[in-house]
Amino acid sequence: MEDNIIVLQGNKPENQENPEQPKELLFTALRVKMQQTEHAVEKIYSEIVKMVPSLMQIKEATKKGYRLVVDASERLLNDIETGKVKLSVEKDGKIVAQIREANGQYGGKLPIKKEVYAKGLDPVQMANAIQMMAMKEQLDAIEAQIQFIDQSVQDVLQGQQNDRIGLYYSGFALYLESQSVNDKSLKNTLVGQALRSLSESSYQLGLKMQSDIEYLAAGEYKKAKGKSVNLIDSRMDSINQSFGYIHQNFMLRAAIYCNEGELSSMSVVLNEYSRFINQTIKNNADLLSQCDKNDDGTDRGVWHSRKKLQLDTSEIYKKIAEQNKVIYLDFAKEA
Amino acid sequence: MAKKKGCLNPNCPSHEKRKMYDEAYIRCPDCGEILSYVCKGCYMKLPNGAKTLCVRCEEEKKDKRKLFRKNTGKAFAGAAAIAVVAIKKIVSK
Repeated sequence: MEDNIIVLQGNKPENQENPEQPKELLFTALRVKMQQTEHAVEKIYSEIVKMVPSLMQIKEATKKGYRLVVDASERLLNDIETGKVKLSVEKDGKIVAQIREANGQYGGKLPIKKEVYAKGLDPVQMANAIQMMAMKEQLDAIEAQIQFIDQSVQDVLQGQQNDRIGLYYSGFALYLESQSVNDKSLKNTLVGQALRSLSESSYQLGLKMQSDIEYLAAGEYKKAKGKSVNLIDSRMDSINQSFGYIHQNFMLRAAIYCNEGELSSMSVVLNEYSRFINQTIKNNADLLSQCDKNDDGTDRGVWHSRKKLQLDTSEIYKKIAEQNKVIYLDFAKEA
Repeated sequence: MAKKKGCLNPNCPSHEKRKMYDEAYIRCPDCGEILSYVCKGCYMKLPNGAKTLCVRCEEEKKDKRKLFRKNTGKAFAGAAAIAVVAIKKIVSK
């Protein structure tokens, strides 16, 4: 709780691995979802493996030309269940249907195999699992990028207080509070309000950052004779701080959606983040890196690395937005 | 002013010493890395087609120039005022 107070006061948390940092919240939520996905995929796999013998029979049937299937109606199945109709059961317990010859005498026996439809597969769980598996590689890639960007962001999130940042902390506090609320409707309301606060804060900070960039791009700092560098530095401080809070904001919103199981909304937030970077930073990365005293202008530099974040998140969005998702199962040859 | 190139390989001694090369150089003579245009003031990488200084260094240079003019102007004005007073005293004698 002490850590929360530090965060709410707007100071830099002492511990970089603070579990209540937006980045950590997102990564934890993603790891939990990934574990759930792996369990779901294991379940799907085991059910499919159970079905493999019948799939092999289908393969054999294509060689023979046909396969006989007993097509029992719903009523007949009910009668079998209730015991009105009985299938012949051999001494070894196998169910058979007996063939009657043309002369009326009983002939050979056809084995009937009871096949149970796969149980325990939740379609929603399956869809989520497929979605998560499709995103896995991209999520791993952006996790590394977010980690890198987060390091540069943490250094500037100090001592800044204004309405926009206040909204961010309000959203953060509401979300933390919602985690300890037992009443579901109250929890949902708090989460909704947290998301609203975060969204408002994010757009206001975005607009502020945009106006600061326009100021630099228009060269308005030149008007102050002999103080241009001071003006550039103060604007760059403002831009860096806005970006820091915007980054935290998007991470927190993505974490909230991920925790609530809303993966497509999480992808929308990540896509929104990539769109923001595309619109605000991508075209101005050269200018920003030249104005930032901490940037070296290379691809490893602050602004060029931030610019690059866009690519991988948009790739994730494409994966999720795909209409048809397919899992390819590979059968290993027996030794 | 001619543009300058520099080596951006952080492990290269030429990068550590912030050595600058003429535009004709393509690779770093020390490590072989491809050279990039750099700012003459802070050695940051500049995009192709940019000036010799980055935005910040260019403004810093202008600021210094303005400050120098302002200070030298004041110094000249002060010296001129002293000279005028001295001349007046000499003339009055």
